[in-house]
Amino acid sequence: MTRSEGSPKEKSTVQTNMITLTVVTSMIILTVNIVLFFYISRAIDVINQVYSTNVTIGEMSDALNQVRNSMTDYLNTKSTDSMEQYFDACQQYRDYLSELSLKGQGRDTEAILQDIEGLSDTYLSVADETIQAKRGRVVEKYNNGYERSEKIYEYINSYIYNLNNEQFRRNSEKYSALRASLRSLAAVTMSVIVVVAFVNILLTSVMTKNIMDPVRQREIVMETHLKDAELKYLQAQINPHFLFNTLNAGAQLAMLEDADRTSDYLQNVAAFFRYKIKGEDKETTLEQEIALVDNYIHILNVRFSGDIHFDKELDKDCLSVAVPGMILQPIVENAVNYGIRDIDREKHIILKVERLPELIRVRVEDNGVGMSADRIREVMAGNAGDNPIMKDSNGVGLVNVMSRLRLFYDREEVMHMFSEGKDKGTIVDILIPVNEPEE
Amino acid sequence: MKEFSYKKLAFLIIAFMSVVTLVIIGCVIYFGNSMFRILEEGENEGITGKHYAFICETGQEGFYGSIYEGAREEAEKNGDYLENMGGNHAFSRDKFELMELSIDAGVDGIIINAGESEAMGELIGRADEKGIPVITVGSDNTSSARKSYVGFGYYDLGVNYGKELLKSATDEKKTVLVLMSPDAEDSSQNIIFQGIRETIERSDATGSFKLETMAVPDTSAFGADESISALIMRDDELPDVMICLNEIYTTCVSQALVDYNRVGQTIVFGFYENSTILSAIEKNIIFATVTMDTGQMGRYCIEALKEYEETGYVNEYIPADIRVITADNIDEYLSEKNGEDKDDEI
Repeated sequence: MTRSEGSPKEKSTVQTNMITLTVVTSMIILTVNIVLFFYISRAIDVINQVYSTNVTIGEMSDALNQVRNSMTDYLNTKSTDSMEQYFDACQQYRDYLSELSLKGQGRDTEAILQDIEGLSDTYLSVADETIQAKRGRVVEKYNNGYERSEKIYEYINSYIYNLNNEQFRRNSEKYSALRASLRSLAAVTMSVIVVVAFVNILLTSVMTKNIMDPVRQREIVMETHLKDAELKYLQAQINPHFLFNTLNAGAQLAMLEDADRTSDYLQNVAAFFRYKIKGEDKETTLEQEIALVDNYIHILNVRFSGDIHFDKELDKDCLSVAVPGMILQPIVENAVNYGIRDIDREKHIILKVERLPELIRVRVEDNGVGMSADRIREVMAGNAGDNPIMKDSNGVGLVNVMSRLRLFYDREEVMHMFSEGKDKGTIVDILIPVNEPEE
Repeated sequence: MKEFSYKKLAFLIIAFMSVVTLVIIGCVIYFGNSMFRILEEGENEGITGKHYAFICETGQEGFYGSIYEGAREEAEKNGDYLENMGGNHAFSRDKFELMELSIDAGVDGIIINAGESEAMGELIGRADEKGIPVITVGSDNTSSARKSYVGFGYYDLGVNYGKELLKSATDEKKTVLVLMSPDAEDSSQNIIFQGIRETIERSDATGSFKLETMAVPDTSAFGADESISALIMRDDELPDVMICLNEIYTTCVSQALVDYNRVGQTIVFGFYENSTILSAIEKNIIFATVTMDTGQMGRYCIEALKEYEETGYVNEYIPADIRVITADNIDEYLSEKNGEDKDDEI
C-alpha cells in the first residue's frame, strides 16, 4: 500500500529534478552565449570604430585632392563647371574635416589633427584668394597663390600621411589587444561550456542511476503484486461464493428433508468458513472468537460422534475485548489434535475467560496426553522444528498465534503453557492486557 | 536512501550553478575591463591647452632633443602640447619649411634654433604678423621679431673655451684649430671664435697659441664625418688643440682619433655631451667639453612663451648655465645626472 502511494510522488520529484536540471543547464549555456555575443558585438563595434577613422581620413584626402584638382582646372580653363566643382569640393572637405573627431586618441594624434585643421584653413583661404586673383586676372598674384597652395597641399598631405600612420599604429595595437582578449574570451567560454557539459553528464548519470534502479525494482515488485492481487481476488471471489452457496444449498436441503441436525451442521460449517475467510489479520472481539470455537467444536462433534465435552466458564464483562482474529480456534484445534484425540477416557476441553488484575486470561484446558517440560520450552521458544504443533494445522500454528499476539499487544508475555506430565492434560493461557493496546 | 540521493542531487545542482555563475561573473568583469581598457585607451590624455611647435636642425637631435624633452615636460604640466615638427614627419624637411608649415598650421607658439639668416628672420616676421610668438633657442636670430632667446651667449661660450685653453698654455707655441660649420650666414660661430681669441689676447699667454679655423665641408648628408676622418687620417702632424663647435664634430673627432690611433696627439675641446663624448672624456680622448643644462633651457622656452602670452612681454635674452666638463669633474657630473634621471623616474 505504501509503495503505491509513494510512486506518483517520486515520479513528480524525478520530473521536477529533470526539468530543473535541463532548465539550469540551458540557462547557463544561454548566459554564456549571451555574454559571448555581447562581447563579440562590442568587439565588432571597436573594430568598426577603429577603421572608421581610417575611412574618414581617406575620404578627406580624396576631397582635398578634389579641391586641388578643381582649383587647378579653374586656373587652367576658368570654366564655370570647375568653379562649381571647386566650391562643392571645398564644402565637402570642410564637412569631412569637422566630422573627423579624434578625441581620446592621444595627444600626438590630436596635435596632428589640429595641424591639419590649421593648414586646411590656410589652404582654403589661399585657394580662395588665388581663385579671386584669377577672376581679376592678376596673373602674378594667382601664380604666387597657386605655388603657395601647392606647398601647403603638400604639407597637408604629409600630415594626413602621418595621421594615417599614427592611426594605423594605434589601431594595430588596439587590434592585437582585442584579438588577445577575444582569444581568451573564446577559451573561457569553451571551458565554461565544457564544464557545463561535463557536469550535466555527471548530474544526469547520477540522477538516472537514482531513478532507474528503484523504477526497475518497483516495476518487478509491482508485477508480482499485481499477479498476487489478481489471484487473491479470484480466490476471494470464487471460494466463498461457491462454498457458501454450496453449504447453504446443503442446509436448505437438510431443512426440507427435516434433517435438523444436518442443517445445523451445515450452518456451523458455513459460519466457520465465513469467519476463516474473513482472514486472520482482522481485529475482532473475544466473543466472536469464542463463537468460532463453538462452531468448530460442533463440527468436530459431528465428526467424532459427539464425544468432545466442551465447557465454557466465561466472565461476560470480558467478552467485548479486542483481539486479533484466529487466535482461539488454532489453540483448540491443537488441544483436539495433539491432546485428546487419541485418549480412551472422556474427552474434555474447558475454555475459561477470567478477569485478573490488568489482564484477561483466556485459558484452554484439556485432559489429553500432556506435554513434557522440555517440549513446552521448545514450543514457547518457537523452535519446535518439524514438530507437528508448529505446523499449520488449519492454516495457523501456535507460534503464528503467539507472534501475532506479541505484535498486536506489543509485549512479550502473551501466552503460557502448562502440563503436569504425561496424561495429565495441557493448559494454554492467553494473556490479554487490559487497555494497553489503546495506549 | 532515496531522499539522501535527491538532497545530494539538489546540492550538486546548487554547487554547479554557483560555480558557473561565479565563472560567468568573472568573465564579465575581466573582459568588460579589458575591453574598456582598449576602448578608453588614451582618453585621459588630450590637449587641453596650447599647441606649440618645436623646430630644430636635423642632425642635432642629441642636444636639441634634450632641450625638446625638457620643454615638453614643462608644457605638459600646463596641459599644453609641444609638437616636434621635424620628428613627426615621414619626409625630412629643413627648418625653414618646418617654420613655414608651423605658421600655416597656425600653432600657438614656436620654439626654434633659428640661426642668423635673413630668410629665417623673414619667416619669424611672418609668424609674428600672424600673432604666433617665436622663441629662439640655442642659436639666435638677433635682428628678427622673435620674442626671446634662450641659450648661452656665444661670446661667453668663446670665453669659456679660451679659459680652458689658457690652462694648457706652455712656452711652446700651440696651433689651435677651430672646426666650424660652413654655413656662412651663421654668425654665431664667429662670435664664439671671437670670444676665444679675445680671451687669449687679453691674457699673458698671447704668444702661446696660434688660432686657425676650418670649415668642415658637409656638402653631402654625412659629409662632416668623412671630412673629419680625412683630417685625422692625414700623415702630417695634427694641430695641438682642436675645438669642436657642435656635438657632431665632437663625436666624430673622438671616434676618428680612436680609429686611427692618434689619441694623445691633440687636445680636443668638445661641445655638449652624449655617452660617446662622456666616455671619451673619462678616457682622456677629449680634454673638455662645454655643455649646458638642456632641460633647463627647454623649461625656460616654455616659461618664456607663457610669460609672453600672459603679459605680452618677455625677457629678450634668457641665459642658460654653461658648464665645462673635464676628467676632473666628470664623476660629479655623472652622479648629478643619474640623480636627475632617478628623480624623473620617480
